[in-house]
Amino acid sequence: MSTIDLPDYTGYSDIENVYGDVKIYTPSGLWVVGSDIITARAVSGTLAPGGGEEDVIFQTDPSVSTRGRIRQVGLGLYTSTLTNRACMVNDAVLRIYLDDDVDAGTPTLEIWVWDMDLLNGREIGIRSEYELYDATITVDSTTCEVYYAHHVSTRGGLLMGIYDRPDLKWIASCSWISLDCEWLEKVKVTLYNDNSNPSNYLYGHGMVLYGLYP
Amino acid sequence: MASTREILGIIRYPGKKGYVAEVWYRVKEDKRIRIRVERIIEPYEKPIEGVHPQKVRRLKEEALTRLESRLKKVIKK
Repeated sequence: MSTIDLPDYTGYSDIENVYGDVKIYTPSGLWVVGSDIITARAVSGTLAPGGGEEDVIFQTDPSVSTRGRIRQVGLGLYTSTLTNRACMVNDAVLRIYLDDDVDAGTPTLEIWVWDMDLLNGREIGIRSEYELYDATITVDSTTCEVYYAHHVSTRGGLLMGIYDRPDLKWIASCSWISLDCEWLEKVKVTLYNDNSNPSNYLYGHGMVLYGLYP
Repeated sequence: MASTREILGIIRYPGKKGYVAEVWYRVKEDKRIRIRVERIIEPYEKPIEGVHPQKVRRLKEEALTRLESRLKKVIKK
């Protein structure tokens, strides 16, 4: 086997000792110095939408047109009481509004937590059909089943769920998803409660990892 | 060194302790362009953890209203 030296495109003989900035021609038409779009995070305080309501996790201000990308979203939903709560898997919907859909009020993308489980082959959902739970826990005097995902997709999934079998509702869910969807002007990310009763609440927190193009 | 700055984007989100606005700036210094962020937090009147969902909603809406008026001043600068 022979080894061929590649031409020195850099102009530097020792690439390890180059400490130059990387210049990028950005969508704004300007050259900027950096190696990637900016990564930032938005973490919500309590999200508690009632049935038919949605709570904002993250949004751009409409006064400034911004271009960027949503990288990853995490959701942690739970309840400590078994009254007035929605299902943390089947009623919890991550809504993404991109560009004109923000003003139109029509989600560009809707992802149920149930869908995120399906990203992972619906491992937890199917195991719950057969009561293959990992542990039990007592909540509000009711024994609930705890499911942990034994395998997790690299793009997201439902990591853990607690199931109230007598009431057929999930009382906790931990999920995340990598989206990598881009907006050109504006964006909004919300948690929507798909329960038909306004008095049945989702409860929890959300996080969005995003990037702006400089 | 002469520098100019323009707003690249404004992000808003309901944080744990207050409604947050992140104002991202593109700062131009001669031929170089840098990014910087200014974070404005408008605190909730009361903690929103562990309270009734309707109260959570009201506290967040009130903080957002106050935040928007603060933001207007920042944008005018």
